[in-house]
Amino acid sequence: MSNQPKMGSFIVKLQLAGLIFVGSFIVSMVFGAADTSMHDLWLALSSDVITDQATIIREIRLPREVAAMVVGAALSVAGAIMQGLTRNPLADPGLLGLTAGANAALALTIALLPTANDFTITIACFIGAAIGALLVFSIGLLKKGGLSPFRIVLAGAAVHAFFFAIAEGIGLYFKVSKDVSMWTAGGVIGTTWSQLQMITPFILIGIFISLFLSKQLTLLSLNEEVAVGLGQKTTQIKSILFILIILLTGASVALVGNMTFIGLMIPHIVRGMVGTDYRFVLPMSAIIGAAFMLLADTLGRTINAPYETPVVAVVAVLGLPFFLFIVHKGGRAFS
Amino acid sequence: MVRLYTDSLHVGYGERSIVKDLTIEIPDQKITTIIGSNGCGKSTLLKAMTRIIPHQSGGIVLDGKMIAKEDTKILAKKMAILPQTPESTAGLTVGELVSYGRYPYHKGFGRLTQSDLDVIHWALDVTGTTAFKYQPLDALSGGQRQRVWIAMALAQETEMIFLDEPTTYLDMAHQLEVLELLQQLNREQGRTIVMVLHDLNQAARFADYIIALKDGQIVKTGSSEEVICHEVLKDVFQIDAEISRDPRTNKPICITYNLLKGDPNEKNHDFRSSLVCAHA
Repeated sequence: MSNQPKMGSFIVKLQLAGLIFVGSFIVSMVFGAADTSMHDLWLALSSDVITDQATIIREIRLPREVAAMVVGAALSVAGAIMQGLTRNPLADPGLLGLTAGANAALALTIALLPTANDFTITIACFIGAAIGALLVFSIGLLKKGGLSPFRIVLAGAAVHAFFFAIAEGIGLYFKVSKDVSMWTAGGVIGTTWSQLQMITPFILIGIFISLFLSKQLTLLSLNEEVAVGLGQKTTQIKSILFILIILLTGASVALVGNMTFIGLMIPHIVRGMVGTDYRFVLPMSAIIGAAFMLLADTLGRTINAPYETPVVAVVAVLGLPFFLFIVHKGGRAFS
Repeated sequence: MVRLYTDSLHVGYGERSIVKDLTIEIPDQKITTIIGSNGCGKSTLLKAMTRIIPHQSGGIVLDGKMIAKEDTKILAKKMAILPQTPESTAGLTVGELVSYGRYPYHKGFGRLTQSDLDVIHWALDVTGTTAFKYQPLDALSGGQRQRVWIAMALAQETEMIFLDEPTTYLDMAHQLEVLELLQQLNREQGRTIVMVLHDLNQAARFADYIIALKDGQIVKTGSSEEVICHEVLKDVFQIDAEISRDPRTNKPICITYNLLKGDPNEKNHDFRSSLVCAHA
């Protein structure tokens, strides 16, 4: 059938992306401030041998890079879903105020519940992301004409600034700035296995359900009236997709703090590789997003070693020109 | 028996009501065309009848059931809708887009069965789009694209097909091509076609039944001879139209028209009931 040739080439591309991903993983494990070799990596992953190098890899690098992976995948998939759902090429969980909302909720939780555990903080991030998203969409819908790409980005910028100010204010007032910025500016530094055990399942489940709904998302991204006409329960599907975005974004912020541009950049790059059908875009975004974050974090660790350059900064330096490029093309890079 | 009718239908956006107290029947296995000036509610009526937009009060009844209470997937097996100019097509190929027409028959991931493939093949064939099957939709001309969208609606295997201005943005030859395809589907397979058209002469030529709307209310319904006449057009469009007969089809055609002068605010509702058409 018509899908077959495309599906075949997609599987080849997915395998290539998988190779890039594995390559990125090895690079991220081997390179860093401490001197480690491929042999150390092998020992760390395949045996119980305790050497300094193996311990560094197991307890410091591995959890940190697993965090980079899942966050890269989560934010890329969330961005792709947002772009499909809003038919807006500039949609991104960071640009549209979701991560800032989660961030403010995180600051508030740390300030009011100093003993809060990872679970509480994660839930707070979900709520914050949801409030951020609802604010942006309701501001966007205030005026007739609805959610034009630029209006929603403006609303996102305003909400972002608002929540950022709140988070700062809370930090200063409750004298928890240091704790808050441990999360927000730190990126993936200091991620522990227990944090990962807590948050990763949310992300994996979120991505899995997204993949299951990818065909629905393609249909919705074509034209909502067509989707209704074909018998899609659009309200139901849109609500589930919205919850998935909140889940993926909230979990990412709980893990690494504010992270913009990944969700914008990765789906655009992926569309260039596999086209605009979300059955292909979503799985590819997950893999490329994970690989990208691995490389970005490795770059952050090595570019000025032994000092860390926060991965947020690396991503922003790469992401901002990309954003301007898409704005310049008027979103036409979208199709 | 009439399968689809509306009963005192009200549709509106917010405060503004667009379709007011509308009771119409859609004749079975006929081509019905809705005409009227911009903003008269023709597209709104079409969208309400196909549950794309909700209605405020009154009812839309299909096969004895209110569509508002019917499962949307069951409706998708009975009525297909082609909205006005579906924009982006996400880089889908023609074959892929048409295969989406089988969506109402699937659950979850549902792989295409042989009978699905047969239907898709037939839909491509009858619309003359088989040759483009592996091409991306964006690479086709406007007329070809419109035929592909019709193929998708056909793959839905519904007895009713609704189209919102299917000829917009097409050149004259392609307009006729699309309308003739719809006529052929109606004549050969007995499919009920309901469409909004802007061009009165096309409406007169292809419709078995015309619904003329003004301000969300019916001005006149009936055959082309009954609706496309001087008095009705005067009321619906505020034009002074010269109506003649098409020498080839013998259907009424509007050869030329002038705008009617006078007070546009003056609404003469009594006039409507006394409409008499020369050709009726």
